[in-house]
Amino acid sequence: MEGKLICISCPRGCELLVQTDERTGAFISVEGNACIRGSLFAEAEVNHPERMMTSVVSIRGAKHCMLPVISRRPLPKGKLVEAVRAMRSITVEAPIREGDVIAEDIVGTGIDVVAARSLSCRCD
Amino acid sequence: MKVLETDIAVIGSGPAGLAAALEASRLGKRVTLIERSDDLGGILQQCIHDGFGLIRFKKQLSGPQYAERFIEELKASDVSLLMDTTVLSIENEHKLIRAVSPKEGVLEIRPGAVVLAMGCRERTRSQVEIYGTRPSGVMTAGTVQRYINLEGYLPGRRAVILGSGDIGLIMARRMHLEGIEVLGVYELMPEVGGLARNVYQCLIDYDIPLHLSTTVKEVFGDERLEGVRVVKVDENRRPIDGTEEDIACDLLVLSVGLIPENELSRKAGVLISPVTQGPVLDESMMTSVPGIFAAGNVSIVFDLVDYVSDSAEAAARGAVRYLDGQAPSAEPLDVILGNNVASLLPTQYRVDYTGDELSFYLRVCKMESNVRVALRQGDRVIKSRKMPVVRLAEMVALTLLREDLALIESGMPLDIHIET
Repeated sequence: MEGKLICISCPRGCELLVQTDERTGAFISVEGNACIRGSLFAEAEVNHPERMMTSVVSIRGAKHCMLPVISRRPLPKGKLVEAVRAMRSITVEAPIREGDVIAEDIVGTGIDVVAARSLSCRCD
Repeated sequence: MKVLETDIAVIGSGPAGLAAALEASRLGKRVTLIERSDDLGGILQQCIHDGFGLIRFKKQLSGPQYAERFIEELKASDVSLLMDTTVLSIENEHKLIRAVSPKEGVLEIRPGAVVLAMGCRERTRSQVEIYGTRPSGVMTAGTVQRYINLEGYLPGRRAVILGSGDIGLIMARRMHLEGIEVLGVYELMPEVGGLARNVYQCLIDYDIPLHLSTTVKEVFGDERLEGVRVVKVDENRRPIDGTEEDIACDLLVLSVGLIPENELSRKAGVLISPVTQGPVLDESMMTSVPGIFAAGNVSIVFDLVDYVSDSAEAAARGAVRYLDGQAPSAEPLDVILGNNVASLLPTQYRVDYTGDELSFYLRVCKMESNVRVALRQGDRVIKSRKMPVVRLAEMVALTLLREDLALIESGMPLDIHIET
């Protein structure tokens, strides 16, 4: 079966023509990618689509009340909404360093969520 | 009144200001970085999505992560920071900067050179034609982004987005993930304004509809927005009678373009280009006022932050050469916009430029496939680059190295084209 995808690996956004197995839906081949990232993306997108998760959590004691966070690796796409929801119940205390683990093994994916910036205490 | 002396004053600490300050400091100059808010990083701090820095860091970072790399380096450098400090004016002859801050009151900064890095500003409702009442709930995509990502508020429950620029697309996804019902993205033009990958990962992923050649004509509601009227438009962007549709919503998000923020530049007497809406710049990113340079989105609206940082480093190197008395002084050659070139940076070049490389950044008027981007002088091609496709949303960079620059002769203007 033939399908169209757009590669999200870089701003170029290559249009990918993907061949998949009629019966299992599994990835067979891809055309239209300008680089290796395109073929890796196409295979992942067909067999086990994934996305990076970025959101915010509450922070106390800093000059801002929200702290941006990011998953260390892409999450299975189907888990994304659940993962973003899970961020809402989290509150951390300043100071925070970029890369500090904010949530371990988010929604059973085995993937950690880390702080995307540093935020010092308000008084510093 | 406090008076500060410095070699280079950088105005604004977004991606352009951070990169310019660091580059000038690396080259041994005393740098003062002036920021009006209490946070470094500018708009990057509210752009929490990933996709930044692929060219520079070979990684897809989120906005705050991209900023953090520069902020860490800045903290280890000897750049002086003036936070919470708003520049009021730059006097052009002596480049004297007047600023205010709650801590210092009125300040005077006397730099040898200035790098303008104030970024750009979003177009608002008053800059697009929308009739109707003036309820709350009509705001720019950047404002929505600030509410959700920095301040922790949800600014509505049912949203319509006007404009399909990248910020609009990114905010469609962000609002959806935070539980706001996103009813659709409406775009006046027949082509989407943002990158293809953002249509894919922000709209298609979540079944958010995109309506091209359709615009918002009118808004309803007294205190709070109650709905909008959308209408299809013809090829001349005129509303087609009978195609109106009313949509109940309490949030209208505008993603209708960005304009370089040049109030200070104008006050300083800097010549503004009608093409880029930023200062007219030469090969060193110097404006029409000697010693005043511009970097990043204040000079032209870039699509990638990596280019913003690159342009800022080029401006910093230009400012350093200026201070060292090595600024090019030849008569500038004009760089003329040729076929399918909508805007360009820079538009002037001096043949005694001593930099190791020079990047031209351009935007096209229309999408074309299998093209060659070519910089010519008369009949000679100075540098060209083949591209499978050029699109409205994507900037094209053409970088000339020393050997390419050596081909440019004095006297004749340069021109840049998209050749099919």
